[in-house]
Amino acid sequence: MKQLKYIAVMLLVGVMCACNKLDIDPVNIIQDKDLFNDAGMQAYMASLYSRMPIEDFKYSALTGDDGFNTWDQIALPMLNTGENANRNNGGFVNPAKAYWKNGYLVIRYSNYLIEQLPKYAATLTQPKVDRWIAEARFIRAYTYFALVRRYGGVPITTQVQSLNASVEELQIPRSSEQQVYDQILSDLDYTIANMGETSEQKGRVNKNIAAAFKSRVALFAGSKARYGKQYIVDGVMLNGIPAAKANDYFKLSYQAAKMIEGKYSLYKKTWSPTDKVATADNFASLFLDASSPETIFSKGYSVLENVHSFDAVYSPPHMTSTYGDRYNPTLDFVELFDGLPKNAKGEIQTTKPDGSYIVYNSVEALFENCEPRLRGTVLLPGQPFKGLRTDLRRGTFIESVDPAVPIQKLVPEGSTAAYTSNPFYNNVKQAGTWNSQTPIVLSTGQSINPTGLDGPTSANNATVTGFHGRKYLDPKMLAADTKLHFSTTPWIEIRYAEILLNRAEAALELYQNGVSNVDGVDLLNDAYLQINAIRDRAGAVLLTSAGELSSSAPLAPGTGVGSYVLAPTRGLQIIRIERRKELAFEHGLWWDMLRWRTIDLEVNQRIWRKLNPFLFAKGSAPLAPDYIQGKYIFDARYDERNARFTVATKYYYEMIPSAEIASNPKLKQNEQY
Amino acid sequence: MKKILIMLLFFAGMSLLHSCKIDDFEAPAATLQGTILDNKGRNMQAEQGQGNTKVRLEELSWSSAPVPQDLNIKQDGSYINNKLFAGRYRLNVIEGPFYPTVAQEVEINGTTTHNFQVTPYVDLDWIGEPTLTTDKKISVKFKYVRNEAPNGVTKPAATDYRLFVSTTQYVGNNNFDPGNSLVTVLPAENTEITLTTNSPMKYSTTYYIRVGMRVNDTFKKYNYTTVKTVTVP
Repeated sequence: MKQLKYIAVMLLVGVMCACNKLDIDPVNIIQDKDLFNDAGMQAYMASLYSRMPIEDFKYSALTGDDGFNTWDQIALPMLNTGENANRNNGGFVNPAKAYWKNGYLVIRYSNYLIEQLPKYAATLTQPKVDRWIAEARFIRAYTYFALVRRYGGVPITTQVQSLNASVEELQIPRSSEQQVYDQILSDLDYTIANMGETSEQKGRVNKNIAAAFKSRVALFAGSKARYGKQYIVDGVMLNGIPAAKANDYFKLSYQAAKMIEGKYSLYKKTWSPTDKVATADNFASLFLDASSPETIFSKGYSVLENVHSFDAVYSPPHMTSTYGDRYNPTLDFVELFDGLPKNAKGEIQTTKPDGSYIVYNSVEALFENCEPRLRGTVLLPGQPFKGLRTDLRRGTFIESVDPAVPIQKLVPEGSTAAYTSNPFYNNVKQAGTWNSQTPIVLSTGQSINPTGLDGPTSANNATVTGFHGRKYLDPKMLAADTKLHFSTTPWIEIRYAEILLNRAEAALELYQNGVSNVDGVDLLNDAYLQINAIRDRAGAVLLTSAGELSSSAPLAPGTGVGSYVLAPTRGLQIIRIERRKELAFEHGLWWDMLRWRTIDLEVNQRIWRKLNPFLFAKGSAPLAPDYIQGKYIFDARYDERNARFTVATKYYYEMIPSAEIASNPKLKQNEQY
Repeated sequence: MKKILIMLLFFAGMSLLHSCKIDDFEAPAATLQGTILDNKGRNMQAEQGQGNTKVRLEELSWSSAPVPQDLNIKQDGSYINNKLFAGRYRLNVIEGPFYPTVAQEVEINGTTTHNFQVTPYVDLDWIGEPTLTTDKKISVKFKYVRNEAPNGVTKPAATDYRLFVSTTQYVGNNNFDPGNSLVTVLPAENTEITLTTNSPMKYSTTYYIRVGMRVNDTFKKYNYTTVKTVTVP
């Protein structure tokens, strides 16, 4: 018991000895005095930029922090638009990941800089302070844009909220969608006015980047005003913008795009007017060349600090050591391009008028004369890549089937029936998986795989559409080196081709709605010139005259090439098709289809189309494990999984996260949630 | 040691016995049934399940802000659920191909029958019977009339129609052969429209067919004709 007394005394002494006034700054938190100098600002900016909601190679509709910063890109909104398909997703992929809290974190950090920097003007010098404030305002604008296109109107906060404020003060209601767009545009105008034409470091903003981004933002605002649906709660237009404002925004978009004319140019380093393969390679290189004059704003990666896994997840299966095969452009998308045989419906024609298949002498023959941009965007059958060749073949006709005898279509046009419903299909050898096949032994003694190493297999893997993608894939990364967490290809967030397409679209929207010129430029002719500049670089068929961008009715679905692309006029239909062809797989089309408000009609019980090559074993010879010389037929049909896609109207806006409404009852929910 | 063990056992036993209360709440046994009727008193043609339209129930006698539960409907527009708790409910049919309706409060007790009155966007009617052409394609004739909108509601434009063909009786937008493509150019109302399948039909098969048309509203669901069958010899 005595011992206890001593312990108590000791304890008391121990407690008392710490009675010092505790007013030293915490040493584990970086202080303002360490931040507001050149090195500190560089670190702060690096942290801000890394938090920007850029939908890059680490964006996902499935995992990650609010959908960002993940390796797993298997589900992306481009599965809903008809660009891409994969075997994991047989229906609508909801990209809503409740991005909210992290957005407001970036906004708060930006606001903090905007508020604090002027106090350090003496030590940092005024020009630097102005520049960094402009930079912070760009990042804030970028983040608000990510929020406004998800939710419509959101709370606007341009000051750092104080910890001591009452809860009531901290709860900010949603502003109207128009107010948010206006806030973004005013931030961007400030950035344009206060920054020079060169970035402080690679990957950081400058005046021209802000102008390029402004053309995108204003185009969105204009489209929302013209095509959006208004949703008003308590007098605040949470979704939609008054229609009368449309032309004003399109004009801003046009002027911003025009402003950077001559500062960037379309990538044409290996472009050739005659060599289609060179032009195709030129198109593919623009996404990989670090010195491309077309890149406006890009995000870099490095092996130690920040890597992505695009090559591993998106390469054709036999060109990667793991994953692969999630990059399957649909036939609907491929059919948009020039240089392919097509029928009156605008669909690829691989049969003769009597309904029997055309027999091709090699697997490449069907696409021999295709538009170079298609070859630069998609890996076509037999295309050399990574020192290998894309090996696409659904199955092989056994040697007793003679290519000279016509074969009737295996399943009726437009049917979703299985091939096995046709007894003649018993003559086809096929495999369920690409990497464990039973080879066919030919009468020459050589053996070949019944199905291509890159699919499509009878179990719908390797590819579900009969194609693989090429855009952004690194051809120098050998198959064995293609692993998860090893890719560092920079993500191009804004490139000049998009700006030209923004400019053409804004110009035609204005022209067809009563404005024939802006700043003395004839808008119709300007739209025509921009579209032809894009097409010329792509190696596509040029528009013959500005008159083609007409305001007559668009092609009705099923009546011509690209007729499934919905638009109010033929001219805008042409521009929207061009945008789809040029900017596919760059994560933008989903948002475009939302701003045009066409996706719910265009993607409604939609089944993507597929192209299946079949080889004739008779007369074939394997030249390489992944290339069989021989005669081929091609069957265009609906997806064999019978996967149907529907985008409901509620997805034009995402649901405000319910946790946010619980902590801020002033937030009103969007329609249909 | 033994004491502690006994004490622990005692507490464990206490905590186990603590929740021993008999759950004698009566199982749900009330039945709600009825039909969705169009403005001419006919059954509204729909799809099986919740794809075309659904009946929304909110049990007001349980909570003032109840969690809604949605019922499936049958293809002919009727519905039934015989495992409901008796009580006061707010009922409505939602997200269907008709002008929005106002919810009604209904006391459900024993077997309650409640019919919904809706105004479909489009009335579709067959003209004559479907026929088989000499090259074995199915040919049908129908006409359509778009119903006027109630006051304060805009009348949405019709967007497209389609001949739905299936080998099962549950033919509709959830179950059809897409070979017979969507038609987006609409002829005038009340005129005779002929539709023929794209390809010849298979021998000795019974096909179930109906025509559906939809409008550009929020939900883009189809209004249908009744189901007819065609047997290919």
